[in-house]
This record gives sequence, C-alpha cells and structure tokens, in this order.
Amino acid sequence: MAIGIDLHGVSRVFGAVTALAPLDLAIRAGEFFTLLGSSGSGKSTLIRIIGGFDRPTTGSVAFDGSDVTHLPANRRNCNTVFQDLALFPHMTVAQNVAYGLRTRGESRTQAESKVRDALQLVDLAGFEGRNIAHLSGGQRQRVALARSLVLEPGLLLLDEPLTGLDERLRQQMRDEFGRLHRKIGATFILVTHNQDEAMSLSDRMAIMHRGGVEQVGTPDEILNRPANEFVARFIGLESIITPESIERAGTDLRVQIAGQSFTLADYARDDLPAKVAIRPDRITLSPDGAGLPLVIEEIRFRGLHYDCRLRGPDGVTLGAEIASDAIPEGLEPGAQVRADLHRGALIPVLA
Amino acid sequence: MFRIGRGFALASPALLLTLILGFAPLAVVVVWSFWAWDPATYWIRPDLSLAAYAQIGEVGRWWVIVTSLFKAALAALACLAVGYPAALAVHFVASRRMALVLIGAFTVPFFTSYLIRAFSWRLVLGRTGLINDWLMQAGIISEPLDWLLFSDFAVMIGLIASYLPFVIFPLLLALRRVEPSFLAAAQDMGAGFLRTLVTIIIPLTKPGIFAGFLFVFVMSAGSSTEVQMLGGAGASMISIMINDVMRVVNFPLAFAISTVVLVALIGAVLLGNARFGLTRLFEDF
Repeated sequence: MAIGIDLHGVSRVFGAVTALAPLDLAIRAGEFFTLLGSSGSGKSTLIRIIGGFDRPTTGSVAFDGSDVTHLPANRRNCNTVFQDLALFPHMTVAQNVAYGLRTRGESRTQAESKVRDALQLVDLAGFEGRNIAHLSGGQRQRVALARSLVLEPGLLLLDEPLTGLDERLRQQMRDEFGRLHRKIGATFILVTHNQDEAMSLSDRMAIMHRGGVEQVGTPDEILNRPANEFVARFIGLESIITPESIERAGTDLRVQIAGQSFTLADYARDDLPAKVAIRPDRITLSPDGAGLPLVIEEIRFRGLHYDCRLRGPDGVTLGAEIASDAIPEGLEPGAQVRADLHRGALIPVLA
Repeated sequence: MFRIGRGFALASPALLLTLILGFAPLAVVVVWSFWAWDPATYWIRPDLSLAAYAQIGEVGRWWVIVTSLFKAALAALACLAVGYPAALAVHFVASRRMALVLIGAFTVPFFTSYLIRAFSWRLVLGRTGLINDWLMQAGIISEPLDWLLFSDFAVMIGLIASYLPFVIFPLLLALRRVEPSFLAAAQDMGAGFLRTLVTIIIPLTKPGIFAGFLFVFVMSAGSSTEVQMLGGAGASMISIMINDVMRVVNFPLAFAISTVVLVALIGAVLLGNARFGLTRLFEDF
C-alpha cells in the first residue's frame, strides 16, 4: 500500500534560475520523510515534482519502481495537503471530503460512509454539514487532512501545512500527523522550515540548501553527526569552533580547546573532523572551578532558560542555554566565568 | 474605522446624484404611464388610466417586447460563451504583461463611437463586404450570402461585439475568488480540467456570470443603434418602438412600455440575486 519513491538526477530550472540541482533521493515505503530547508532551498519545487504538479527539467521520478515522471497529479496515487489547505469555500465539510471519492465515481452512499470514517479519524465526527468559512484554523487543517486521507493514498505530501497556525495548535497538529502516520502506514513526506517539526516527526529527513541536498539521515544522525557546518547551524548548533588539535584515543576523540582537553565519545569514522560544534544545552557555568575561562557578553531571559553569549580569549564565541534555576548568582555581562562542557557537548562537524 | 454616519456623508454626493438623475425621471415615467392622452391639447393630463397598457397589446407591440428581451438574453449568453474562456485565459494562463495587453484589447473598440462600430460591421458583413469577398474568392460560394447583413444574425454580431467587455470584467473580478491552489487541489484529487471547471470554477464565479449576463442583457434590451444599422427591414427593438411611439407623441404608451420593461428587468435582477448571489461578487476575498 505505502509507496516507495526513487528520484534519479532530478533537477528543475526556471529560465536562468536553477531551483533544483540534479539530485538522487530514495524514500522508503511507509517512511515519514521530511524535506527541511529555508525558503528558496528547493524543497517546495521538489515536492511539487513528486506530487506531479511540475515536471523535472532532467531526471526521473519512480513510484514503487515504475516511472511516473510524466504522469500528471490527477493520475498519481498520491495526495497533497496544501500550504493554504485549498478547501473549497462553496462546499460543506462533507462535500469537500467527498470530492475525490465522487471524482473517482464512487456512489453517494459509499462516499458518505467513507467521509464519516475519515472525519472520525481526524476527530471531526458530526461536522459533515458545516460551512468551511465557519471552522477554526485547526478544524480546517483536519478537514484538509481528511480530504486527502479518505482517498487512501499510498503517499501523502504535506506542503508546510502548519504555517500560519499558532504555536499551541502547531504542536497539537504536529502530533496528529505522527499519530495518523502510525495508524495509516502510508508514506508521508513533509515539507517544512521548522526543525522541531522535522526532528520530532521524521523517520529520516533531508536538509536542503540552494537547490541541493546537504544531508540525508535520521534526526539522531543529523543532530549528532552533521555533515557540514551549514547543517550544524541549521539545526541550531551555532557555536562551531576549530580546536587546537583533534586526535584519537581508542574509540574516542581527544579535543584540545583553549589549552584544555575534552572527550568526544564513540567516534567511528575513519577521517577526523576539522571542526566541532558545542551543544548549548550541555554547558554549566560557574564563577570558578573547572572549564573554559570565558567572559559573558550577553544574557537573555527566555522563560525556562537563559540564552548566554560567551567570548573566549582567542576570539572564540559560544552560546549556552542555562536553565532558569541553575544560573549562578552575580552573573552579568562582563563577568568572568568558567564553562564546563558535559559529556556529549562536543559534536564533530564532518566537513 | 469609519462611523456609519461618516460613511454616509462620503457616499452622499453619489447617492444624491443617483436619486436626482436616475430615480426621479424613472418615477416620473412610471407615474405618467397612467396618465391619459388628450387629443385636444396634444398633451397628457393627470388620470389613473390603464389605456396605455392596453395599447401594448395592440399591433404586436408585446411581441416586440418579448422578442427584444429574448434577443437580449441570447446576446448575453453568446457574450458569456465567448467571454468566459477569454476571462479564464487572462486570469490563469496569461502573464501579468500579457493580461494587461488582452484587457486593453478588449477595451480598445470602445475608443470609437458606437455608431461607427455598428457601421463598420456593414463593411464586413455586406453583399460586397469582407466576408462575402473572401468566401467568393475562395470558391466556397458563388453568390454573396444575403443573410449576413440586415438580419437578426447581423444584429446579434453587433450586440456581441459591442458588449463583450461587459461580461469579461465582472468575470475577471469573480475569478479572483478561485485560488490557483483550488485547481491544484482538484487535480490532486483526480479531477481533470472539465470536472474542475464544472465543480469548482463555474460555481465560484456564478456571481460574475450573472453580473456579466445582466450588463449585456440590460444594454442589449435597450439598444437601438445596432438594430437600426444592421437589422433587416421591419426589425424592431423596444427602444425603436418607443421612438416610433414618441414620434406620434403618444407619451403614455411610451412610458407604459418603459415601465413594463423596467419591471421585467428588476424582476430579473431580484430573481438572479436570489439564485446566484450577485452580492457575493463584492464580498471580501
């Protein structure tokens, strides 16, 4: 039922602009796959090509091994939840959800019972006769989902559907996507610029940048082994430094920063990284004691934690997230502190 | 935010003008249609007489009204048939620049007087006009086609050519309600172009369709130039008939005819609004 996708040398050129450089990508059947990138990274172009709304300039798209490159969207076993949802304003909830079924030629009674099931699935039982204009943002979101899911697609494309929802609703709908994916078992592809969404939902994800794929991997792989500096920064590892030396010590790496030695555990690759990133959430600050001697540049209150910017003697800058209740007394800009790096604070940046 | 009072203040010059210039003469027309014709003074005198309305039934006048309204409706439908695909092309297919050029092209014919526009069709449709010339040169016909000019066909061509833009603009306005993503969504759920047109585009543009129909219908029903220039001998339209009646200074009859047409048109508007929601054309998008 779930569809596996193979992209070979897919590119898309608009006039003089290359929106997508030739890329290969394999998405497994049943996987929750995320295309993560900022605007202009080519992620939307790519999902339009997978959905059949656009043709690649070069390359081929295959669903379960059969070529669909030139098959238009209305003949692919795949449905899309659009960024603006595209609910038809002149139809009721039930008519919207039944649209695809009726287009397929299913009978009114058959469609009716499927619509009821689909609305039940997205917690909108009893909303059949409602007017689209009178629904809340979250309810519209669910109608759009039901409208796609009722067709039982082997592949569901989610084109930034959470944009424009407030934070609470966003998290709620995000979890809903996860629940529906587990329940239905179809392949899901989510396009987003929000790394939280990507990290919490994906089986695997691709980081896109300037029309190319920077890295493909599980959220864990991408967080702990970012392929390059761009990926590291994109997923929130802003503090990237070049240590004085990096050398092997058994299965670990010994990393020298500002004259002090730190351990990076379980490094399995053959080549050594040139740089390391420092996780902002694995640092403790103290007025004296062990760790790097640094000066505080800035402290910002963020509710549950403080964001601190720290500067070292040789121009190194670090970001640290310190829990609100763990901030030492008398910490203010200009103060001298020691920053101790916990286990797992260092992340190798491979290129 | 405007207060209601201030909003009315802003609209008041236009409201006043509409009342004085538009409604006052109409009211007079309706009132005078019940007055009686006085042969002694060659003028009308106050009365509450239905004589003028009875006269509509004479010498086939009601038939002219019915056929006029029928021809006007036909012209409006023909304009929609031609204008709808054009509006679709301007809205969905054309680039911004091309859309501007197309809209301009629809407007340019209005830069000449309607008299000249109607007359120019004589040069195209006449016995020695362009079309007959071409058809004869191409050997398709040996005799010029007579029914091209001075016929209902010619009148219809003239009306369509004159009033086509009046369907295109309301349609373009209505098409703004059709988001491109609606079309993508319909396609995504398996619909081809025809099904998308019937289930999405036409239902969403119903107010524009009706507004366009109404513009052309009303203007065609009141047209006289096209009929006079292009119609056959004895071809009549409401406005020509009114003209004839006025010439023999039978004002109550002229006003009675006008009142009947007025009531018919108002009825059409109310019916259309109830059925197609004309007011939705002006809703926020």
